[in-house]
Amino acid sequence: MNAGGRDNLSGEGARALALYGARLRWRALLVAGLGALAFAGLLVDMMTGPAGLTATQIWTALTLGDAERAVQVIVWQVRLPVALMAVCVGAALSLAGAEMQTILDNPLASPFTLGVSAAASFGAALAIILGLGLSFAPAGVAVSVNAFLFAFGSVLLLQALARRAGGGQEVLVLCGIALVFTFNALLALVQFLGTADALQQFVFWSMGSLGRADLRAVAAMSAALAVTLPFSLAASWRMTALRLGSERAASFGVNVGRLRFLSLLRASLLASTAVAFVGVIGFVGLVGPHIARMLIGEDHRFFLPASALTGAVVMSFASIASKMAAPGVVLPVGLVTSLIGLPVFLALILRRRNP
Amino acid sequence: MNPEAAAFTITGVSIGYPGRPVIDQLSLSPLPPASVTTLVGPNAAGKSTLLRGVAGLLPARGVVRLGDLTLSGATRGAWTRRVGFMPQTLPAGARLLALESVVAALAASQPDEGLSLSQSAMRARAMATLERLGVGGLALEPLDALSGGQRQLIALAQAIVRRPAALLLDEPTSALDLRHQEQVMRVARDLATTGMMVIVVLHDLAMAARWGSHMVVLSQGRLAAEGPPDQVLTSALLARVYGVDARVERCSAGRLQIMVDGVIDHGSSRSGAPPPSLPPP
Repeated sequence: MNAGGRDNLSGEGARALALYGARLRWRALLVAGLGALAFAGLLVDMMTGPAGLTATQIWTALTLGDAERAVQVIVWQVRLPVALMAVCVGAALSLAGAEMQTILDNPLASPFTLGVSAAASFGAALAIILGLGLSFAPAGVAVSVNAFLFAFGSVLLLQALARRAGGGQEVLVLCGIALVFTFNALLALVQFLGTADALQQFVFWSMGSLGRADLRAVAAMSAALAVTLPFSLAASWRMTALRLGSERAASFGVNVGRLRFLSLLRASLLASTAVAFVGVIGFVGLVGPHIARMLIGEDHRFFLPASALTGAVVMSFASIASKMAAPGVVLPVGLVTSLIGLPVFLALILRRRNP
Repeated sequence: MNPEAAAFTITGVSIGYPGRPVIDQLSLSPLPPASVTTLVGPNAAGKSTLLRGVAGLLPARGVVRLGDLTLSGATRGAWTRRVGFMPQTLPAGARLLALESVVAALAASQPDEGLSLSQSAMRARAMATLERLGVGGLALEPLDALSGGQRQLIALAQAIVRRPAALLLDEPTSALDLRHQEQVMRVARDLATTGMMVIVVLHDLAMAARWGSHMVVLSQGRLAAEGPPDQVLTSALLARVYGVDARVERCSAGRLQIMVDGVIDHGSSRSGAPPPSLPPP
């Protein structure tokens, strides 16, 4: 090594660095492109729906111009919250999935593999079927509050269990599977006790729907994103290093245990907020990061934002599809993402077995 | 580049996993800078555990000192900046370019290690490190498209890009063919001649004798012997530590070779009975 800290490169080395710089700029461009696509999805989502509004009508209503009262109501209370919620929820679930796939070193990890959704469903079932909840939570949001508390609590429990068992990503995954079964059994018990009416209500909740979204929910969801995203980005080099192996990352000076703990905390905050407001929406957290990885690679400075934006795009277009699939009916968006996600999931497994 | 070239001392060190101490009160004579020390011993002797403990990846009691820095007194960032470690496994096949995996090794603990480089300076240093190891041409190749030998050289670049004073290598040749074994050990020796202290765990004693100027033999977590290889490697030591009946001879090129004639069975060797045969399957 040369003493002054200067790095003398050969001509070829300098050329390789220039090429690498160009690749970084290309990735930044791709991220920007995904952002533009998500924005386009948002606009199309707002223009899609049974009321058949034109773009001009929507624009007038949005800019608080001189629009009919009915149009104002549709745009501000239905179209805008649903479209914004699709983008936020997609970004949150996909970002959570990206972080979990990295820290668990498992391409099939998603916010729901570790029991987050099972716990949230159990919490929601308590509120919907048995009417159990926090007394100070207003009636309208009791279900969301319950779902959030159970989802977040399940991740804390998971961390505590895994820590007791000696840590490591395998222990974490196994404990997560145990939690899935536990909460599903408890859920079945609650359903067994419920009335037919309450059960129907719960089934509808569990399908995952953007229809319940209002601007307050959008604000809460985007707040969760705003709180976690800066920390995710700040950890991006450490997460990239973790992809080389946890022992190797530790030898670079990364505190792997702390990185895992904080990352899982961020992922669970995002996933449980999303589940609380829109119910169980499968596969976005799995598929978003995979598309981002194929497009951009695993330099987490680009991979994390790209995952969030890919999730936003997927969710936005799923929302559009859920309105267009059958005339006059809005399908639960969770069904749409699962139907899109299933073939992707199978393809991933098959590719993993035949590299 | 090695302003603080200083000896590495290991005194009264115990390392282990919870409830299972592996290294027990180990003390070594100070390891000199600018040299290759090889660490050998039978399976489960504690070689890798010692290396991990010294690298700061496992809790270690006792004194591990490099120059004026002690393991217990240094932050993780400060210690890992001075002590590089390369695990035995090859880097996972992440979707990363070889160059960016080396940049990540440098950037992962910024800025808390007190070494702050701009993004472009980090890239330039990573590139220079690859060129130094003769793999500059692989910089823009995806990591998962490289062969085992190429990946090991990239891993070596990851371990030295922080310019450590000491470099710990855990069986760097175990996954490699003869040509890449030769290449990796040559790089290790070249690093030592520029002032780095290199400590290598090796399985192959002849290879250890050839590349190291100092040899440490571990057995069951304790020091069995240390010193220049031609003094350490004797038939008596091989019998005591490895339980084999072996000769140590020099080949025509003057290198030490080990010829194993048989296994010493402590239970029956006195009576001269043949070792028990395996039971039929």
